[in-house]
Amino acid sequence: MSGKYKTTIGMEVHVELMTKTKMFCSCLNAPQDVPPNSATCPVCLGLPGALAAINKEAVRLGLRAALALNCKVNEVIWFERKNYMYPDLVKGYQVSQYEQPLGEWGHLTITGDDGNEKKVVIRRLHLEEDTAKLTHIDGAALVDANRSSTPLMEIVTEACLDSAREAEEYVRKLRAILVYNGISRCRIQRGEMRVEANVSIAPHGSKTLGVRTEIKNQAGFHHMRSAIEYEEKRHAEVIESGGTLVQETRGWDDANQRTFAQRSKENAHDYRYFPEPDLPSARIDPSWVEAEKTRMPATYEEYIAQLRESGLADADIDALTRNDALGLLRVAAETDPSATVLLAKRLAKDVFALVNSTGVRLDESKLAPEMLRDAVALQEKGTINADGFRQVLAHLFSNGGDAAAAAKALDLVTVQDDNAVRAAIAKVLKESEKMVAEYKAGKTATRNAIFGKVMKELQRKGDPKAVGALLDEMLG
Amino acid sequence: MKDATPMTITAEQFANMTLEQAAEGVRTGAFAPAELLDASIARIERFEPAVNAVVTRDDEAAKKQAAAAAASPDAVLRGAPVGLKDNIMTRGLRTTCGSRMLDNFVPPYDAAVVERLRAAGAVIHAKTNMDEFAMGATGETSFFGATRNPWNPALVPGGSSSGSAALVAYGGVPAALGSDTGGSIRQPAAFCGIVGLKPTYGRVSRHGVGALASSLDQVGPLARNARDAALLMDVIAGRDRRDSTSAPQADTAAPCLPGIEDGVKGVRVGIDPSLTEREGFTPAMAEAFKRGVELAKDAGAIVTEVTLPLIDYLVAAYYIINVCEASANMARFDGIRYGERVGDGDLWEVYAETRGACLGDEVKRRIMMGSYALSKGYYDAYYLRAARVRRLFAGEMAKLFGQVDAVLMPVSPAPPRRIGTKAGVLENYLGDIFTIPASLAGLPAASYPVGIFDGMPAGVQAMGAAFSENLLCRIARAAEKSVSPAGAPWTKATPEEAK
Repeated sequence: MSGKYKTTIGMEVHVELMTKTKMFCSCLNAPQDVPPNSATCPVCLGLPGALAAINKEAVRLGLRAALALNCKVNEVIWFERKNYMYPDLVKGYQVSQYEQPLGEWGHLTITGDDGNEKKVVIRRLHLEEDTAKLTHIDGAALVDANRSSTPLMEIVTEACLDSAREAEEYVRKLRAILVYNGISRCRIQRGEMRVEANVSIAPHGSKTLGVRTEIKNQAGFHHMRSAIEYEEKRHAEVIESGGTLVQETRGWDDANQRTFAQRSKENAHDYRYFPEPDLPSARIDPSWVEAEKTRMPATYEEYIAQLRESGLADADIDALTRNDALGLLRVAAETDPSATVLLAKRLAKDVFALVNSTGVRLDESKLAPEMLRDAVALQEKGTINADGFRQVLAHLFSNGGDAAAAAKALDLVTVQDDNAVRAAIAKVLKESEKMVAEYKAGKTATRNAIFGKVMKELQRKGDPKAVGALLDEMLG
Repeated sequence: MKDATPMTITAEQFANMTLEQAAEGVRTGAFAPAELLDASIARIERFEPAVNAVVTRDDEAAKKQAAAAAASPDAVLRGAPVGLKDNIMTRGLRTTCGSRMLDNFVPPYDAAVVERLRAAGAVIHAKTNMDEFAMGATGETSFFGATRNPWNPALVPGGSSSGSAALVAYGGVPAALGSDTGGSIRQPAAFCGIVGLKPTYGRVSRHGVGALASSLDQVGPLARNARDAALLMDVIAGRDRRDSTSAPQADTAAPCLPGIEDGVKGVRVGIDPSLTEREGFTPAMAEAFKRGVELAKDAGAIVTEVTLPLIDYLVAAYYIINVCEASANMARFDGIRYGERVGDGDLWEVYAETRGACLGDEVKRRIMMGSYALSKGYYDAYYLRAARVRRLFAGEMAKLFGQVDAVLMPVSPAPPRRIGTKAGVLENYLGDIFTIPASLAGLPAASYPVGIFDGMPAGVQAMGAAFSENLLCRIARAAEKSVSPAGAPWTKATPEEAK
């Protein structure tokens, strides 16, 4: 913000980890399309006698995130009870981390407002459990405990961002890194990534920060950016008019393009933290950390550089990063890294075409990395042709499943029998004597027309390479 | 060979039958589990509701269990009925924790110890009365009314496992499970003239046990003799992955029943004479302790003097930790998802009215104290400091158990009070002074009867190194060989005769 005031922003992001089961019990983590309160057990319902037990995979993903964000990993961690009463908090306390978080003092690099590289300092990264979901209806509140005790990771930056633009770049980069590393799907619309911005302004050169407000519950990064910019102006107006700013939580009203007060920020809310007696402190074995480091892919920046070096066009790279598709690409190419460029091109062209035509985001589709990998492999082998590939891909995008099975079910497998191909070619050559004569007379372009007729004869199920070779052979 | 018509067991016969004898009788075919159950029901119906040891019974479900137990002869308890303190979750059987808050609560799951009991063939038909949410030492804070001591119905049976102790003492079941946070198995066992064992913290799973103080709670057996306590202990002990405080040694530590007859010759027993010189220690209790020491000596133990470290700080440290953890453990009882709900207003009205009406005074007191002690500015001074005292004490005790194998201590400074006489809050808490040390250090301790003093039974307590429950059972067994059980409530037909 130019002018009299300098803006200071700190970001708090909550991310749902992609584990199979919940943070402290064996219930499924966010199963799709199940009735409310069906993915529950005594632990995540807070029944008397139920005890939390740590999900090791959640710790592994948290550890991976800490490493990807250059954090110092604490060798000994423990959990604490954060005590407050609310209907979505089934035990009357949330099991979280306070004194000794999983990771501390990491960073993520963005381009600062001045055009230079800027390290956004990540003060802490810790694990905790999510609350149940409250739905307000007809003056009543309904509690769905399917979400209760889902694994959450909280990432808090220092108050070191200077503008809404920097804040937006930070969260976009954070999401890209987390998706790329397979830590979370970060789908904002599903609450898998929740972003809060703490904003304050102060006169340039001031040694203290101004009163801060917390902006919560934005539906997307654009909203967050608008909200921050709005707050900067609003803070200035309040100060200029001699008013007092209140430390509070505000939401973004997109229809009216303004923020509104939600509740007073509980700066002094006393959560009465104490170490969780049901979960003894855990030692993270350095060898486990080393193993995870080895298992991790190249860093996000390194991977992009590798793609560039291997000849992928900037436009394609841009499309991939904008759609947070690098994670899918990386996993799809895992078994055969040499296929990376080919897969990347297919993603950038054919998959994003589907995104556009269906209106379904990539991260909402049913397309899993191995499906893309298998479909591309089928085409390379000649089992399906280009047309077949597009149809198989569309099917997998909307339905998931197995590429080979889809090709069979949709009757897209190319004709594999050479004799059948020869018969088709023979038939076409017989019916196209004029064209054959033209070809033999030197009009080589006619070959393509003949080729097209053969493919049509084969009901579009010809393997172009095989058909082309046989056609050339039979044309002589 | 099984008899064609199993003999009927009279209520009196049943009341004098040990858990081992009950299981053995089924094994030999002398009687079937159904007969044991019928006798148990008959006995209970003579003493209830006068003694008020039982909160909930489910005879129909128990009959089905008895039939199933008869069909699987390998389960070590073979259909014997075992009582359960009402803070132990039983699937489909009301579990109240002694509170109005859970008056209508039927758990959808079994506690780990219940799973083990069922696998061992036990029949579960009685949930026993207790101080509300295990907070108390007399049985008087129960929403369902006080339990009476079967030896003298005007007196308290002790608590918080008041119902389990009384039920076993009058022979309604041969044995029962209780829970012990600061003495709640050992003290009522002593007041009711039976054996009570608190295991090493982590030896028995807490999965499915309503939590009072998570770092202190343990489930353990109450029985009329040491062998039964040992048998039951071996059934319920063991590691459970659902409980992260469950110790690996729970699976590898020596079991209690084998070797229980080996005696205690040469066992090094320490006593701290200063304990009996403390204020409030009554002459009858002093007599009882003296007798306990004599019994140990007579059995060949080497008794030496030791000093228990930090005794003056332990009650405070314990109660701070207790109320802090309890205040958080009670927060889930809010009338929203299960249990009782009072009030129709907004959220905060429902919270206030439900918790106001459905929680008793002692529970509220501890919630307030715990919230205060954990609050900003006080955490360091209270909880953190208490945790440090605790760790210091545990370290000192570990050293002490390098010099002796067991420490003999009194159980209570005073005998059971008359029901309804109110003592001050602090006076009540100080009554736990002898049982708190084992709880704070996470060490096992057993109380066992050493005779009748001033007309009431009294017991003595043996505390051991971690996972030495088998030694404690040996010590109790050696003592009871010299103690006559004549005149015990379980030998009487009715409560009147038991007076």
